[in-house]
Amino acid sequence: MKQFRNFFIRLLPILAIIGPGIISGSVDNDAGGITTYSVVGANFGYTMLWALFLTTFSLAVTQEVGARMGLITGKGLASLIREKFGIKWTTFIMAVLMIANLGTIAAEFAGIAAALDIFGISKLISIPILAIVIYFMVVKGSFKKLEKIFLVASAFYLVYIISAFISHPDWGLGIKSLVVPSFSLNKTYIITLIALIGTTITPWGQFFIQDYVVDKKLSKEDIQVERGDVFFGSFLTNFISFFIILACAATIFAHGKSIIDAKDAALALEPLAGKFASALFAFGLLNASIFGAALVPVSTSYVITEAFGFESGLNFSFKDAPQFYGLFAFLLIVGAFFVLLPFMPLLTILVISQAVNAILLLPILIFVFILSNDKKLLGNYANNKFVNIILLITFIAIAVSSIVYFFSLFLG
Amino acid sequence: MIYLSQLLGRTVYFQKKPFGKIIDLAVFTNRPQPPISKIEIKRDKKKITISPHAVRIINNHIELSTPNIPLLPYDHKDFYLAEDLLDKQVIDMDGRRLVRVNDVVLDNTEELKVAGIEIGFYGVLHRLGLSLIPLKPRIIPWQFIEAFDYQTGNVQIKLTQSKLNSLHPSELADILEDVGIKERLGIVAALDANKAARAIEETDNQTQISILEELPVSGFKEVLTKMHTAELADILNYLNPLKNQEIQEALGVEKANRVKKLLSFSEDTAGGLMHPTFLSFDSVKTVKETLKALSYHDFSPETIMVTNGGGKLVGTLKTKDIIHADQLSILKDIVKDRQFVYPDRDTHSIFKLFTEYNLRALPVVDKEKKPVGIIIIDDLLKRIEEQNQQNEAI
Repeated sequence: MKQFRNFFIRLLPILAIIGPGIISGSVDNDAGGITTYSVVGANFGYTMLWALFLTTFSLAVTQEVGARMGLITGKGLASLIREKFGIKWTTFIMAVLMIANLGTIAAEFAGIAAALDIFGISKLISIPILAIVIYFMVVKGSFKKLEKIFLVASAFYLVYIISAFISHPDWGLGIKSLVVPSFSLNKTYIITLIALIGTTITPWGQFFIQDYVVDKKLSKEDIQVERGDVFFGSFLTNFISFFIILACAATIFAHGKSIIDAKDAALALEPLAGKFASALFAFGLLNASIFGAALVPVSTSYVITEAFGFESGLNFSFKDAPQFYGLFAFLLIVGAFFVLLPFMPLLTILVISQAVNAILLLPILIFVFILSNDKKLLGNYANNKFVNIILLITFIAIAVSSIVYFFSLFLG
Repeated sequence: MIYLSQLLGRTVYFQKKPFGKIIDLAVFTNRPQPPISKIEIKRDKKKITISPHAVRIINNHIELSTPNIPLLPYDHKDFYLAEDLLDKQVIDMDGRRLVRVNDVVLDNTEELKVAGIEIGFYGVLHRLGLSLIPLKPRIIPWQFIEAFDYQTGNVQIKLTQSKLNSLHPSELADILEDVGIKERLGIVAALDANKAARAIEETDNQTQISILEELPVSGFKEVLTKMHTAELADILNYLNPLKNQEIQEALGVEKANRVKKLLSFSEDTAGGLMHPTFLSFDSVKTVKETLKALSYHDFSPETIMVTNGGGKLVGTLKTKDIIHADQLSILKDIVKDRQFVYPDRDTHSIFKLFTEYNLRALPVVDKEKKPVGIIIIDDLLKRIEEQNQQNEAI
């Protein structure tokens, strides 16, 4: 009977005691995140730090809006869209979410492949095996127990902070680049910039934060605490991202090299780990990738099946919730399949999927904007001007860079 | 049989010319199969509400039957099928769970009325215009659902009394944990005070906090006073201090004092576990007298306390043992269980006492050995469940 309740808290029991800060910090820097930030630093030096600085505000605001809607209504984003806009729009948004998340899942598997490739394991072996392992890990409930290990292991990101310090980056330029924007019409620059936004603010994260707050049964009373938590989480995420970019800029970029293959990103850890850099990087990437490859498909299945009113959640047997388990398996298989395609370089999957996420965030932002301004729904807790301005700027920034990118494709 | 989604957005014709588009239907909710009371039509960007008797549906063609349309006033208190029911969650009274309304089934044999709701994949595909796969609709008759008002979250009370009261508190608790905040309060408001109190007690700690935090104290005094003191004390600690005080004031001096006393004990001690309500009898009473006294109480505990002349604890007796005992024997001669604890005893050692002596209940006494409360095995089970959840989370 306890079908819907506490899905995320049951899946990730740690959510019951700590704020979303650390969770979103480590989940956000998943396989696509590490790689994209690495590429940003390694191939473009300090020149995109300003964008990272700005996305921190966008991330904080979009997460705050999601948390606030959850707090006031007690309903997830999919539920709110369904109840206000009906089934057709819901289907559209669910399709958008599914495509975005398929991209993310493919990126997680690409991360697994890249990490194990460093240890000499072919993706033809690693991917099918891990897809099956992850399926059973989640379905049989062992994911819940292993979750702490994954989170502890994500302390791995701290090595980037150390590595950044050891490699003597140009601190002055680094800090200056945070606030002084620079732009290039080079199409690789633009797509990487879009990927940088897309790996920070994701459709997945927008649904996750709201469901999280709903699961935790937080109410108006908690709004200040929750705000602080969300802001801290956003800061923490990008604080780590800053050091990943800095470490890569001070090593790979400074030596005139670039990341051509995903495993090249390990070079950033050389000042710290020397010849163990590759192994250390592989370990961190593998941990983040497996965690994401389990969490993203299962939460996607949950959101989608719930939006359509099907039995949803791991407390059901396969027989009682065939759509939920079917979709979960489908997402895993398709995500893994992308990585096995011979003509798909891992680096492309890892970075492009993040750019796709950014573009697919646009329609979701429209719905978030309308709902969070709905006074009937939120009363006095509807958006203020400041929040709306940041949402609008975020929307315009993604839209304009996407349009510029498509033009740059045609103009060569 | 026709689906609501087939009517919404459809053009209504008058003398073969388009008159307007149907945007919603209101119903008389207090009938077993509620007939449509109003039809909301969009005409020239304006919404007008007309009587269903002015409209005829013949073979997929919707036509106004009369030129002088009786306009009805729009009333936001009406229950509208698209606004309040379609795509929303409702309680399936038969399955005792929340379901989402994928479509509304209408019966148009005589007058247009609601037959039920569709909750399956069929409804989703049908509304998307993709009814390619032959699927069976999953329909729940209207009598078996409880719907909410979308704006207020109030439960639509059908007939005289909410059928929600027929659900078991633990089933209600599951539903309370799943619905949105407004609907949660709507359910509590629709229940009898006693049922509401039991249902709230059955929900998990976070839901309890959320409900008490949001509940307007003035309107729900009775629910609050019906809640067990021990449960209230558990929740109040987590509330906003102002709300906590407001609730204590609403409880009345006597109950508030008992709650305060419990609040002063740590949750992990006998004081935090115990119920302050119990029955005690003088040890020189006979079984016959005790049984008679028990029959006068509407509170029928499994275990009673036996005290001596000074009010000090002698021991406990299970009511079922008293029934089987010799009518003329006196209580102190048949007392078997003599274990007790002081309020500061930690929960861990209480667990041990219960398992060691196979206890069902354990008295808690003050320094003078006068009983102040009783721990029942149910409280321990609940505490173990809570601890398990916490352990999982660390």
